Amino acid sequence: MTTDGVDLGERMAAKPLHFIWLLDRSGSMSEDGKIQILNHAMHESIPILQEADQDPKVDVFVQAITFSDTAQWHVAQPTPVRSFQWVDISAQGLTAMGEALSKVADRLEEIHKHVRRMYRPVLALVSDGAPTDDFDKGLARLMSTTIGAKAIRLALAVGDRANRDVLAQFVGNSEFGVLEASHPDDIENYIRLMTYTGTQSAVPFAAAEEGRTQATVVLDEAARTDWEEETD
Amino acid sequence: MFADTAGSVSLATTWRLHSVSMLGPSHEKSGLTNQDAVGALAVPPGGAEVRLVAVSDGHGDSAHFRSERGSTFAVQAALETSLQFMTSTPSLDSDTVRDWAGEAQPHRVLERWRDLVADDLTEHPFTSEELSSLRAGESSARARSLALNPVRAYGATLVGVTVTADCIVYCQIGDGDIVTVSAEGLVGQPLEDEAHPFSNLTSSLCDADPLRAWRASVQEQSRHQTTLVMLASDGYSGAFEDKASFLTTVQALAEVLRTGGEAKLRATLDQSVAKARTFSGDDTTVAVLYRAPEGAP
Repeated sequence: MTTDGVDLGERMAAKPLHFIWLLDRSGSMSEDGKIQILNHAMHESIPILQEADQDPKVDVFVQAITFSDTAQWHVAQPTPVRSFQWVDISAQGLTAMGEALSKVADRLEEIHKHVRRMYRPVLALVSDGAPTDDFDKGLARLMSTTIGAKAIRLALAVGDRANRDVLAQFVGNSEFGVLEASHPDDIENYIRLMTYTGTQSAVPFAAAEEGRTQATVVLDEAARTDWEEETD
Repeated sequence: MFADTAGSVSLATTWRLHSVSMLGPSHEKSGLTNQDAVGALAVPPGGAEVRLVAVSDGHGDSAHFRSERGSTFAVQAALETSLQFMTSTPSLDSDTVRDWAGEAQPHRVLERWRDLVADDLTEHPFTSEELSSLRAGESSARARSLALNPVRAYGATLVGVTVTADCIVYCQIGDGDIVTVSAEGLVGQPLEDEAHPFSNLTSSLCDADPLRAWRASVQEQSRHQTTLVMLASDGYSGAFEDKASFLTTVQALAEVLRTGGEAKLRATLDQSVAKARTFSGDDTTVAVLYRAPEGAP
């Protein structure tokens, strides 16, 4: 006969999921309407993040950094997705991708210093070109942080001129590889895919009761028998 | 709180155990097995009373790709060390127990764990798949670190309890929790938290000098009247809103034991651990060592 347990009224709480966009807004992004499509895609990504936020175990926070001549925070503070709104960006200048990675590393360290419990953050990088600064230094800085190395890193290469090598270095051995939008019109679908994939990868969903496993380790058969009787 | 029973507590003499270990959703998703281990022993071996318990949490990331074995070895080392002490020491007076907990226990647990790891490495050298996975997933610095210290692949924490006739010995390295509840319903933590509670970093048996992070304390049972001891991997406490909520829940669990008996305790703990793992996402293991209440249902 199965005995029902008592509801202990445990106050278990949602953990933060930090979703950080790293967006290329160099001059080439103004060609073929890419920056407009990207802006539209960012608006469209919000409902997907808000849906992930519906899970009582998850609080989604969004940030965005853009890079052109320099890297600058576009959404500087971790913003609850419930109140998040996208403000359009424009394109001009070079591609300071390495600086963006360094700044994200700094931010992740700051967050990690103050937050004990969190999901693996999601870093979603979109670029149509090649870094014009020290990409290796930025990536090394990111990977030198515990939380940056553990982050879920996604990358979207837009068009033929995107440097796939550096994006591949960024994602590492991610099962998703580097996503490729060969045509600007594909950007929106891929941003949606990155948003969905990022949240799904960061927040694992438990199959009810399937995770139960037997306790392990005993020293001898006599002890095993007694102990298993005790714990079964 | 058990205010209604304060001062009129009759401590039962038999220590019993219930433990549950559940795979974390994050590991479930990535195809990993449960990296936690839990074990317990009756003393004397073959007897009915459980007095030795250990829980270990294998780190479970790609840099510690054998941490499932590391946690199993940690539990084995802890239990063997305690059993050897309890069965070979002529007089287990409190001074002897304190000396052992402060000196011999940590050294012998570490030595035994390293022996088990070394034997495993000898019998099962790293495979090309394990190493290629590390190279693909980790920075070259981590790969070099593993080459210099292959023990790192087995990284795991440890919490342990040894109950003698007069004392309870608590020991810990790394994260995880040990919480006690007294006969009066007072909840306590015999060991302080690690120095860096606001990060995912933890001390580990695989560290270069792990005994620097070893924590231990000894309680005399006549003074503390402990009736329940919870040992848990951090997947359990990590699900709670804060430390106070966690401790309140352990206290409530002791109340379930007092009012509902052992079957209710077991069912309640199972439910709570199943709930916790969905919030923490981590492998979640809890062992509750308790005095069987006399006359309870």
